[in-house]
Order: sequence, then C-alpha cells, then structure tokens
Amino acid sequence: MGVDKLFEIKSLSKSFIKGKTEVSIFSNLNMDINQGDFLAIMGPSGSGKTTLLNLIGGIDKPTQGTVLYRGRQYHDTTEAELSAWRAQHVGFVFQSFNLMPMLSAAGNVELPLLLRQLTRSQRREKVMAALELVGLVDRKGHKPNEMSGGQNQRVAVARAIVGDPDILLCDEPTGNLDRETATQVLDILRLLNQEFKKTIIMVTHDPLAAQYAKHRVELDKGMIVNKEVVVAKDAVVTQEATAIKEDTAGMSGELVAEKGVVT
Amino acid sequence: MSMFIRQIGAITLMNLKTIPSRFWETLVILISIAVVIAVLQVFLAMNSGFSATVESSGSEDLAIILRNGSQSELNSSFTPEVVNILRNAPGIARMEGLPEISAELYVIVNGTKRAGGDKVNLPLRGIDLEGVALRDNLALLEGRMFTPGKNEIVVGQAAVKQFSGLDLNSEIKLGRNLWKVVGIFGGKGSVFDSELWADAKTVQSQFNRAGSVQLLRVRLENPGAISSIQTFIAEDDRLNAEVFTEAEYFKQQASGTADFLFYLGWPLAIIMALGTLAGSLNAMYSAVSQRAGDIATLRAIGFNGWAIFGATMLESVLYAIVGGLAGIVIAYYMVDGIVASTLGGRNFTQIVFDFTLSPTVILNGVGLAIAIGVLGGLLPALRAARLPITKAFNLNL
Repeated sequence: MGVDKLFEIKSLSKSFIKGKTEVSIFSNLNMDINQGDFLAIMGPSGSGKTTLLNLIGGIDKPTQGTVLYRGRQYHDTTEAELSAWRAQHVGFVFQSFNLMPMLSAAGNVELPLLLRQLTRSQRREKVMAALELVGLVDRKGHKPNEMSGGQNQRVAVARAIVGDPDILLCDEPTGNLDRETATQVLDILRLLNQEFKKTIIMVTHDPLAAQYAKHRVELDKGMIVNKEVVVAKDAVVTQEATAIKEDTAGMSGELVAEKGVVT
Repeated sequence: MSMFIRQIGAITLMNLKTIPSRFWETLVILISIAVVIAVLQVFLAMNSGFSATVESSGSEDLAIILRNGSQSELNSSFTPEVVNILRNAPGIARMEGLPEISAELYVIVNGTKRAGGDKVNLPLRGIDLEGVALRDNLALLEGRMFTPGKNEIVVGQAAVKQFSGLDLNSEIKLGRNLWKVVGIFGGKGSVFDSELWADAKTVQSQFNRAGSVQLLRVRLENPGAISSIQTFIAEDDRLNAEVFTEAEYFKQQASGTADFLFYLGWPLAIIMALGTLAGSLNAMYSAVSQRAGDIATLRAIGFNGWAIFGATMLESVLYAIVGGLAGIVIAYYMVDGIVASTLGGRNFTQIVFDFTLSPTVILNGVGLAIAIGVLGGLLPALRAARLPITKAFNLNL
C-alpha cells in the first residue's frame, strides 16, 4: 500500500519587504508531508519554521512556488474559500494558547463548530467529547484566566480537534509550559496521531517535543539542513513514516544528515 | 447565509463581552452619542410641536381673505365697504340666507410671561359671535363668552398657562383700558389657544380702528368653492384682496419659524455628530487593535473575514443605537409635553406650543444614531476584516 501525500511543497519561496530591502525567509523549498505523519519542524529563531507552518495552514501566501493539499493548489483561491478550507481541514494550536478570554473552556472549544451545520445539542455533544479527550470536562465552565497554562493548552488542543480536521498545526505548543504539563500535552498529541490518525505538523524548539514526532526536519537560514526519522521508545514508527522526502535541488545549502534517533 | 449570520452573532457576542475591559471608553462614546441625539430631538420636538400647533389650526372648509400682498393679518386692512362687497361673493356658505363670514381685527397688546416676567406681544382678536361659530374645534372650558359692547375677553387655555394676569375673573389693562377675563376656551392645540378674544366692535372702538377690519374668515360651500371667490375678487376692481384656504394660510404662517427650527437643529446635530464620529472611530479602532490577536485566531480557525467585518459594524451600530435611545429618553424627560411660546409666523405675536417627540422625530434620532454607528464602524471594521492574519499574530518571522 502506497503512502498518501497530504502536502507537496514545491519550489516554495517566501520573502518580505523591509524598508527598501527584500528579505528572503526561504527560497526554493521542496518537501512532501504524508498523511498520518507527526512532523517536527525545528530550527533557530528566524529560520522560517513558523512561516512555513503558516503557509501550510493557508494563513500566509507564498511569494513563489506552490503548496498542494491532496494534489490541489489552495493558495490561489479567495480568502473566503481559504477560510472554509481551514475550517474543514485544519486545527491550530498556538504557543500562547490564543483562547478567547471572555469565553469558557466549552465556549472556546465550540468556536470551530459554529462554522458547521450542527444543532446546539450536536455541538454540545462534540464539545464534551473533545474536552473528555483532553481530560478537562470538569473545567468546561472555567475561563482561561481561571485555569493553568497546561489546562489552557489542552483546551486549545480540544478546540483544534473538535471539528475533526485531518491536520493539526502546532506552533511551539509546549513553549509556555513546564515539563510536566508539556508532557501531558504531547501525550495527547501522540494519541491524536496514533489513535485518531491526525497528521500533526509541529514547530518546536523543545527537544522533548521533538522526540514525540515521527520525523523531524531542521531549518536554518531558509534551508532544510537536516531531516531525521525519530524512533522514540514508546512511539510507533510505521513503514510509511520513513517516506518523508525532501528535494533540495537548487538550494544553496546541503542536506546534512538522515538518521534515526533512538531515545 | 445562516452560517454567516451565526458567525456574526457569535463574534458580536464575544465583542460585547469585552465591554468591561473598555468600560470607560465605551461609556464616553455612548454619552457623546446620547448628547448629540438629545440636542437633535429637542430641536425637532420644537419644530414638530410648533408645526402641529399651527397646521392643526387650519381647515380646508374655511377661507381667509386678506388685503393683497399683506402676507399676514397684521398687515392687512379692509374698509367696511369692501367687507360688504365681499359678503356677496359666490362660494361662501350661507345659513338661513346669510353668508357665514367673520370680519376680524388683530391687535397686538402687551403681556408678561409667567416664567421670567419677560414682556411679550400677545394677539388680541376682535371677533363677533358668528366668527366664534366658525371655529369648529373650539370649546368654552370655563366661564362664559364675552358680551358684545363690553370690555370683556375670553382667553385661550395655553395663553392662561403661559402668560400672567389672564386668570378667570381677573382684570388686565390692554391698551388704555381695563378688560375683564370672563371665560377660558380651548382650541384643541391650535394657535387660537394662544389668543385673547373680545367683541370686534368694542375692540374697534377701544383701539381707534374706526370700523376697519383686517381679515375675513368665511365658510366655503365646499373646498373647491375658493376658486369662485378668487374669480369674484379678480373681476371687481374695487377689491384688492387675496384668498387662501385656512389650512394653506397657517402653513405659510408657520413655515418660517418651523424651517428655522428644523434647519438650525439638523446642522447643529450634524456638527456635533462629526465630533462624536471622530470619538467613535477612535474607540472602534482601539477595540479592533486590542482584539487583533483574537481576530487573527478566529480567522485562522476558519471564521470569514466579512463575518468579522459584519460583527464589528454591528457592534458599532449597537453602541450608537443604545446611545441614541438614551438621548431620546433624556430628551423625552426633559422636554416632551413642555409648553413653550415663541414668536410665531408673520404676526410678531407669541404662539404657544408643546414640544412633541413624535414618532417621526424619534425615527430621525434613531436614523442619525445609526448613521454615526455605520460611519464610525466602517473603517475599523474594514481593518478588522482585511488585517493579514500573520500580521495580527505578529508571527511573520
């Protein structure tokens, strides 16, 4: 059985104008991401990893090149169509949680469901299921300022998955958490990947977080400088997971290494 | 569509829940909108009350005959000979063979306002009992009608409330003589409520008018009969007169003052509204800026940018409506039903009227409030809808 390519990143370039100078974040980036993967994108600040995540998530547009989702270009559609695509296929988890401070945990989790044709009771049922998955049913009425950072991030994860998207895009999901709560959040992400078959793309600095991924790529100065297949001791590495492919033709840097990391 | 509306509703609710964190800023906007709308309401209530008073005085069944070009009865004058010719004009209704016609004088006398004691001009109308009978909506409320030949007056109920010395059975000096108030009449909110009436011949005698009158009021055979009178006047060289229906006459009389109130009120309100608009714009920009992260998150989740635009507009309009309604309530409690008097029409005498917050006046207030809300919310809402998500997150790099 072949591996389904979820995203094909082809000759992707992103730059912006600062003053009179064009600053390149990356250029001619090529990469495939397979369905069911748990990919960690690592690299120093300014290496372009969040920009890459934003491009994959359709909240930013490339300067050149394409990103295909299941073989279809989606960046050249209207804002409304992109919004609808995100609502259908993508869940976001942010470093600062980005919960609505005026809403309860349940209210925050319900937000993506307001974009679906669901009745109030159907929405309530899904919200409770998502909160149960992250272990926060008893906190459903609490507002973000009444919960810990770890609990807020779990609410954010519940919000990301409540609409049953294919993809979870996580930007430094453990960046504001201590070890213990980071582990709780990462355990949930692993569960979502392994049991619920969600494709997870995670930007992180955190080595602990990176160990939860099946694969990781390292960006530096806009180039993929490393890619690794991660073999965590309690992770399941499938045959498909090794199919990560990069094509750095035309890049000024070199692919540094391809190796398994055993923890 | 229902999904789009649901998005707008959800975002609007979230926005409104942030009011406690922007309480004072929001309150200032609400108060400034309330003040603008209250000022507009006061002027329009004056305009509405004044126009209603004057326009309700006129009937389509009656005609007013004035000297040509006099514009108001104060400037008009007819000799007894002219009056006798006009009595035979066709188109005038007759009762028992006699024309239903009232030859009236209009004399300005001095009066004093109860509030403040200011000296004002009051209208004293010399009229006979046939003239009284021509006022269909007139009722004697207290006392009795004046007796022809005596220095007796009956006073309109609004004049009694507004001016001193006109209470029943009191005596008041008008011109060089004392007059006794023998009755109080109600004219159902018409200009006659502001007048003092006495026997026409007595007024002629006491004010040295020697048989002349200023106005003829006649009942028409039918509303179209006015053209017969116009033709009659045009064909007789001795008659230098013009004729209007009573309704048309009062409308002309009121137009100057009513227009003045209308065209003073609106520009004043619009100038004030421009100031409020600047404040409203600033508050909404600040709100959008404060919520940039939330807006970016919602759009990342999949909320439509135009739903965010709609919600921001709705929020701005809701503030404006709340402020506007507060202004209307303030104006209502301040002025609705208050009796005031002003120089009315072209006779330079006081007309007493009620401030009236009519449905039209209120709708004008709500309309201006909504306009402030729409204009104040438009640019901030566009900014909210178009702000690049990554810029809002400040996550470009």
